[in-house]
Amino acid sequence: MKRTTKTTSILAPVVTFFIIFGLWELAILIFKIPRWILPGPIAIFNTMIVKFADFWPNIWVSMQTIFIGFIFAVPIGIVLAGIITNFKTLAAALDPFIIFLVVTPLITLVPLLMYFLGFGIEVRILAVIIQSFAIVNMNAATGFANVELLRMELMQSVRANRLQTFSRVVLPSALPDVFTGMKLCGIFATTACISVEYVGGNKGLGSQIIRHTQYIATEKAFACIFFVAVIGIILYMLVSLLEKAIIRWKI
Amino acid sequence: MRIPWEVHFLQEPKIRFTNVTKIFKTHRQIITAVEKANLEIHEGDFVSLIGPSGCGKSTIIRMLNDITKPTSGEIYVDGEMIPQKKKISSKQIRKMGFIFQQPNLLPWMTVRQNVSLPLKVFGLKDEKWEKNVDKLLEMVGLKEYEDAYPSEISSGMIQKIGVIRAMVHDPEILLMDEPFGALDEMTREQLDIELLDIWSRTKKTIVFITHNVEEAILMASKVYVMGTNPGRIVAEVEIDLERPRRLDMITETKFIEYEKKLTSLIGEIDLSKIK
Amino acid sequence: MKPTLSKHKKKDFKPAAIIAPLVALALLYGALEIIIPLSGINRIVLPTPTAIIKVIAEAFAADIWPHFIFNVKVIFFGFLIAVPFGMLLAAICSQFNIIVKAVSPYVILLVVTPMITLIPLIQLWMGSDPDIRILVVVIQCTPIIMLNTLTGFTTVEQSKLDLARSMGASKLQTFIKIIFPNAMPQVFTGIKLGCIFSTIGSVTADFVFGMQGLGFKVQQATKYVMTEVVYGSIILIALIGFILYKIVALIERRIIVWKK
Repeated sequence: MKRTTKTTSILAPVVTFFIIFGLWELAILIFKIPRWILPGPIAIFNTMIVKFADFWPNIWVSMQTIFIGFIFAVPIGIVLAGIITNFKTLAAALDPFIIFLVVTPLITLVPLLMYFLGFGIEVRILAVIIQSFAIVNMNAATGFANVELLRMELMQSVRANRLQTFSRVVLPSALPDVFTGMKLCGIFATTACISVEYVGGNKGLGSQIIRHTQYIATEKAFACIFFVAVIGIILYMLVSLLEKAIIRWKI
Repeated sequence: MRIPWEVHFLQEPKIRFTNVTKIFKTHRQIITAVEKANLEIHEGDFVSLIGPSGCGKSTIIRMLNDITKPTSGEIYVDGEMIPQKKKISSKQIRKMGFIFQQPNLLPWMTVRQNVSLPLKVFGLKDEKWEKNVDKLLEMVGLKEYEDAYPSEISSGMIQKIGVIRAMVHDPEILLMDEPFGALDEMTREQLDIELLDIWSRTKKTIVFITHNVEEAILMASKVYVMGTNPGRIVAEVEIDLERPRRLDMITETKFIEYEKKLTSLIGEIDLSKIK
Repeated sequence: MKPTLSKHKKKDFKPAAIIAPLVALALLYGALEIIIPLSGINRIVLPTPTAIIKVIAEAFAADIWPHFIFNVKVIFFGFLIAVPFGMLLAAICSQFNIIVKAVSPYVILLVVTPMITLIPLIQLWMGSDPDIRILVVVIQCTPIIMLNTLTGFTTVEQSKLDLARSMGASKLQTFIKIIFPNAMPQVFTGIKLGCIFSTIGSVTADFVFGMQGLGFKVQQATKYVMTEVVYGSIILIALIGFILYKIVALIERRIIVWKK
């Protein structure tokens, strides 16, 4: 496999961008697809830019929900993983419950949550936290539990206690897995936020998508979808940047 | 300098193994890594353990360093027994420095941070310990690399760092598990001589594991030959060559005789394996 | 001479892994049974576990089973299509570094876009045939499997690739003997995530399409305030995903024998 240069790395996705959206636009022209079934990307981008101010309030609500949920979910997941990996029986006991939690689609839980706790943004943030902390937990736990034996023996050879071993060896060793968990958490947080907004309430991009679809304002619906995707990608990229800043070494 | 046997007899050895046995149980088999090992190592001795792979040499020093516990038998350091169930006391562990066979630097720490690790764990914060780190780095000529990461330096350098890390808290005992085994011959010989130099200056007690018979004779005053199946000490050979040892001694008659003797001892064990 | 190496075949079976969660479950069950009635919460809001089980068991054959089996069908089929499809796409893309760089951001984009936004559009284009839901699961599942598999295929240690070249291995041989096995841990991570996504995708599809499936049952039961059915259906949904996940984990343990 040829190594690619930095310019190629940046150029390639950009080229693909034009290819994908170019073909899309072309398909609409050739097959004469009506705007209300599938708008062209140019029309969508146009709406996104021209009507941005209209979209902004909902974009902002969704962004808040996603980012705040994410910021809480990550440490909860990591700390929980740190605790349970130190107690093997606890880990064995909780493991199935965590998987259960991850697997349960949030949209089924949302009506119940809203019944108990109302419709405010706090409930939606809570729902995001519930759906996303578990994935960080799972990945962090895998990282914490799979430290190379050699490193653990090093700490044993100086009789380090649990905390010293955790902070100097287990945690740094697990950072790649932790960051994988964080990236997934970003994805789950985005999906969770939109699901919650979709099912309950009238704030946020999720609720707007359903509204626009119902009124066959397909361009606006697509615009919202694109905005969601952009938020998700921004979060993903922020985590990647953080990863590059923290993991300055090579294993 | 050789201590007369009478003094040996009266003095409590620095390290003593009494009938130490270690049995490993995996889910597929039971392995007797060490059977009824008896060792007496005195302060300031340079002792080597040699033998074919799987003969329990690593296990012996790992039990000494409390990385693993013996199945039966007792281990004494300075007359004090290492607890059989509880963790070794911090007083005892600080007397020892352990050097691993594989490069065992933490990849997320710089060279300096790696060397300082025992100090951080033992809570040694005094200025003099930081100076010790500098001194040791200079001694092996790696001061300029102190901010580099392990992935950025060569394996010879990594092993040197491993050695000085084990020395940073000034332990009385050094436990070395084939420390130079993965290096090329020239680097290895160089490091052997450097180690002998350090030993003659600091008078530490050193237990040195190697599979290289030449290296063992060159470095040690006493060589324990171990056999496998089960792992056990087969012979104790005193090496009566003058100090300081030099690389050109390898070609001397006495040296070659020791080599023949040890090789044949190891060979005997191998033959018995075939039975 | 006494033999000291005896073949001692013990089953690689950890009882704690099964007992501990069962104990935890029993404790949770018991606690809920006691606390819920005591706290005076209306059974409409939060029924006791026993009540849930009772209602579900009674309604099971007639009411629940058809929906349950429907979801099982959708999830399993969607999953079984997505896994090889995702891996195949990853295999093709991994051959050309340029394609990897070009395509990766868009795969991530696909993963990030919540299915719930796309399903109404899919319904608009393709109608309401129940089998469309399998397509939804495939669309939801394939990108994440492809992404992880791609990572697995492209992060092989150079030393291993050099080894293959030094033995004159062909591209196909290198792929089968070195790249593929090396990618296994990542691939399985992707597949496990696929389990999660397929369950979510299937239920989301139920919500939007309606009429069939446990997701629809949850919607319906919520409307008619049949709370036990709501909770029961949610648990059944999670159960499907859970079992799928555990099956994958079991297969993983068989295939990846060389755990770190």
